[in-house]
Amino acid sequence: MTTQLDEQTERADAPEPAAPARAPRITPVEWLRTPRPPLPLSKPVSLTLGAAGVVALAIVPFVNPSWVNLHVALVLIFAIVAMGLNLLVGMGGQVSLGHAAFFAVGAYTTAVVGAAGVPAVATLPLAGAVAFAIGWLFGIPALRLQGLQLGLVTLALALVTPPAIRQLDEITRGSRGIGIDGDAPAWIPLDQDQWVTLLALAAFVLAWIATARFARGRLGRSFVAIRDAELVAETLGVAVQRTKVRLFATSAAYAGVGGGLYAMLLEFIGPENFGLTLSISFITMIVVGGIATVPGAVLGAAFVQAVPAIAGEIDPAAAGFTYGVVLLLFVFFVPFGLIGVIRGALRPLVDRVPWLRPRRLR
Amino acid sequence: MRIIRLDTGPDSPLVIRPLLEVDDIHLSFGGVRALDGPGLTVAPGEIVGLIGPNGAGKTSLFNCISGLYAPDSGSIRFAGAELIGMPRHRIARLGIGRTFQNLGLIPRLPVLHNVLAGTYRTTRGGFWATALALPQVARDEEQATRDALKLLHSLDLVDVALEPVGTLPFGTQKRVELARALVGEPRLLLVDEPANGLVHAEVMELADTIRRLASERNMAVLVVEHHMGLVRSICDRVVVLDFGRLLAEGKPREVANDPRVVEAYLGTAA
Ligand SMILES: Nc1ncnc2c1ncn2[C@@H]1O[C@H](COP(=O)(O)OP(=O)(O)O)[C@@H](O)[C@H]1O
Ligand SMILES: [Mg+2]
Repeated sequence: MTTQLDEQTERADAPEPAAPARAPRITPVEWLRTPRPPLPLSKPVSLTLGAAGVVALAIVPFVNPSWVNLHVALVLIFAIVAMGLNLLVGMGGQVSLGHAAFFAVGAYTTAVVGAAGVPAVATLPLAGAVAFAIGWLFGIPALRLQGLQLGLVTLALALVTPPAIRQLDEITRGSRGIGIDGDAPAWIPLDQDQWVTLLALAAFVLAWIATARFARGRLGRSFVAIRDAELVAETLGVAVQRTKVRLFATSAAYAGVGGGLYAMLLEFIGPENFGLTLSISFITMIVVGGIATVPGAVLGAAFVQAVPAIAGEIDPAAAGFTYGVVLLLFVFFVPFGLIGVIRGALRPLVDRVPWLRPRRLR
Repeated sequence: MRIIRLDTGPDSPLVIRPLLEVDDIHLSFGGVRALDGPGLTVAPGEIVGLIGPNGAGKTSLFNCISGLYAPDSGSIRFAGAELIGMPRHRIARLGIGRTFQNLGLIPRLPVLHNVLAGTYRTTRGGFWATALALPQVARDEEQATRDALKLLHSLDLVDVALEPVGTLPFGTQKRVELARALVGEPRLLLVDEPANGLVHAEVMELADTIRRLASERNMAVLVVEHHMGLVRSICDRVVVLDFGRLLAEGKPREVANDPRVVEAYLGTAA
């Protein structure tokens, strides 16, 4: 992944390139491979768009049948995981092919602690915390490794996850699977699917806000410095190893919360839910959505949820094939992901409509 | 340890310990002795030039100070602390800023962000504080941005502030790197060939900026530079390295006329 955008280069206040009198003709492939800074939207406009999106998503569970809610909730859950993974991989440059492990840790935390009588919703912070702790412990040795080696040990983590779940039979009930009560508390008049969708939405909004904050400012710059110039980062005072481990653990916590919500949504989980394909699908999300961008994670999650569902109707085995082909196509032809395409498509509109932009760019 | 005595008045002898004391540093790469026992000191607020022909070991010495190279033996003390063996980020946090001879920027980031990266040491905001957007984080970021813009102004970089730094000419990138080192308000600044890629007028402007900031902040500077005009105009003292050894030391003018120094330069120029 040599072509990466990131939130640090992407500032809406970047100077607008002087509009050429006559745009040079470029091929569609060149167009797709053009880096796209974020749209220079004014604060009120972006806040309105964000609020409208949240309101629309909050209405969804009340007007749709439960199978639609299931899809929406899954997209939100995967988007949470993808945002965390994008911080780690996109901004920090540390690859993880094993995030399904932390997703599983979160899911089983919710299941096991929930079975002990704790309301499932109260287990979500714990799901994040346990995944954080395990991510931390795993990260301390793993992040001494770089690039390919780090990829391999995280891949190994993904591979051992389902067998480990089977082995820990006493806690996880192994291959028999474990049930979760995802119902809303008695005093909240919501069906289970509505309740979990709204919870996922709330967690998603919090995750979005936190991710945007991580991505810019002091911390975001330190991630990018670690990714692009590790030794230089050290001479600037960044405790590189410690920052990497924290970033890894934080990213694992996103996956843990996502896993907890996933358990509440499905109400029954087993080892086969957390295989290698899941880890690969997380990576697919950030590549398809747009590496190192916050909104990209959502688009990627939606894409990954939609495409195999469609492909799977033709042939269940098609899902894995689809990931492979999609990854190849995006890496070669759409390196800036769906978010890049959307930005490219909407830029002329934003350029033409002054009130969309901040005052000083009109 | 060497002590520099500065007599500030007829009867008030003030004793200042050097900020940086490098002593008997040895460093080899395979058979190449990059550093063969040189020593030097830099007092607080002092500007010291480090000169010598290419391959003399100047950059290697910088790398030993900032922890990128581990010397085979010797000692490097900064404000009393031994730097050899100290983790690199700790060394930086003691207040040692540096630039790199061949640039150490983040090419894709805009100039402003590269410079802001230099405020890491002097600002707050870990994972929790950032996620919760604690007020101190925003305050520090605002202060950092103000400081960065001020330096961009001093170094004539305002016009390119939002350009990705990798797209700019070498000389401009060198100034960006200097701004990044300066914005962290180091007590000791290590600059490796800052004038490389600049034309004469720019060199003199750069000299003024370094001199002014050093005296405003009482910042010590160790500067590697081949441009003797710059060295003469800013350095209080010059140290000459040749083949990893200390060849001469003194006022810029004395050193420039020292026959051994002239010969060392001619020897490699030939
Ligand atoms: N990383 C390295 N690996 C091998 N040799 C090196 C390395 N760094 C420096 N050297 C050698 O050490 C000597 C001093 O180099 P350097 O410190 O770059 O000199 P200067 O900065 O004075 O031109 C040279 O012979 C150079 O080839
Ligand atoms: Mg050098």
